Amino acid sequence: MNKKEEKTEKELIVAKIDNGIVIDHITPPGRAFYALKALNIDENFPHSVFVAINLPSRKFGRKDLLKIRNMKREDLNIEKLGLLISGSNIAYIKDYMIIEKEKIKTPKRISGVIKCPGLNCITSRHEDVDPEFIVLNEHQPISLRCVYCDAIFNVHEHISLML
Amino acid sequence: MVDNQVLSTSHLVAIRYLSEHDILRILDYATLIKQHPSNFHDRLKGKILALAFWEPSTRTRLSFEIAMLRLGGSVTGFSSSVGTSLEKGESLSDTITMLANYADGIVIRHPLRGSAKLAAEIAQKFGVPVISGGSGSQEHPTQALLDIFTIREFFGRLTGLNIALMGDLRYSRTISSLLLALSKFGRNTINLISHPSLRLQEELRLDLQETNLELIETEDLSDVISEFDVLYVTRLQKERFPDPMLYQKVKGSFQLHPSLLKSAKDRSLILHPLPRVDEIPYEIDRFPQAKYFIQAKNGVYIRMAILDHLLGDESVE
Repeated sequence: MNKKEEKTEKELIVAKIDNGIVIDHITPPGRAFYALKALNIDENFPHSVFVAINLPSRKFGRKDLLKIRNMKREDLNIEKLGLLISGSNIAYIKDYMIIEKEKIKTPKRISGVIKCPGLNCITSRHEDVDPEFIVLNEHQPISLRCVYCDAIFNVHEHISLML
Repeated sequence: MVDNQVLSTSHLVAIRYLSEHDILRILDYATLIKQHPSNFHDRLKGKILALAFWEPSTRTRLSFEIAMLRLGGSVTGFSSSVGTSLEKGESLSDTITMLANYADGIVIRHPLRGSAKLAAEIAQKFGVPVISGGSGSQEHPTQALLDIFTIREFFGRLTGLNIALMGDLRYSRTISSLLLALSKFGRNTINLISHPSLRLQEELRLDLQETNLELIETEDLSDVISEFDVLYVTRLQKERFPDPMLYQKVKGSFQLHPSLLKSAKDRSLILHPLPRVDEIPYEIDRFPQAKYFIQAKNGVYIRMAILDHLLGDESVE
């Protein structure tokens, strides 16, 4: 990338937000789309959302970044984010100031956030049970094992099963 | 005196949740029962076992029923959805909740994977033990226990054996449970004889990776015919093949022919979880190695041991 291109990309970075969250260091680039899904941000979301894809990053080469106005810690399912964008950092913003920072970690076990793709799994039927999984590996691509049917699958290939 | 309350679990839904110690306690207890069955005739007097069978079964259901009766208990339940509210679409969760309110223990057979684990979680709230009689293609733990009981009874050990598994290794729940059970013990050589489309499930392969089992794959029984200590045969299920023509073409390769068996060791075992179709012809029954009916009989002692462990109240003299 030449200096002119780099400068242009830096200029694209959006302004600070007054209240809400900033999720930075989302890698590999493109994962911000998964995070938006996990955060249930769609056309009905009432607040401003800034999405930056493929930003230059000294540490990672390329990264994504999200700024979401008026979203709070209690609105987040950190475990769900941990399946999709572990390693990213969340900053909680109040009155333009960072009041808390948190690194998103991969959970060891997870329940009720994604359906099991196993066609013959009891959790895929109308039963009194939440799908539950053991996380097999800490790093991307994360794979899960259903504690009911033992099926092993890659989370990113089954994003549509997110609850 | 034998302590019958030593299992690390209050249910038996899968071999994977049992320790080597649990398995040995069940085998030892079943040995004691087989030696002196009359000593156990009133162990579960006054207790009621519910059999919840969503799938057809002959041996598993009847041997559980007989085991319970031989322990002095009673049995109720269903063996198909006909005549029950299952026909109206009642869920497993509701059915198990109801049975846990009625009975002292539940045996469940269900076509879906994870069904026994869910049943155990529900019945746990009522303090009622659940035993799996088969959960889809996942596990059939009591079958594996009676299989290794038979192997240990014959060889006196569960290590250092050459065990050949032939047939449907992918969808057979008895194969999954047997391999998981053997993996709790020392080194054994496992010859896997199957059509490429019916090889072990990847999930199971992963479970066996860190164990002492040495897995060797082949498509031809004659490769191992003179080496095996145990030949465990399973039924090929026509519906598992994507193409019926393929089934017709390959099924002969996984049948046991009397002529082939002449090369087998005299001191070896042929086992089958039954029912068989034509993978073991009747002529094989006359060979001294054929022990599948003794294996099926052992199912009663193993299930008596399990029922006594999970439903019984006290130690036995």
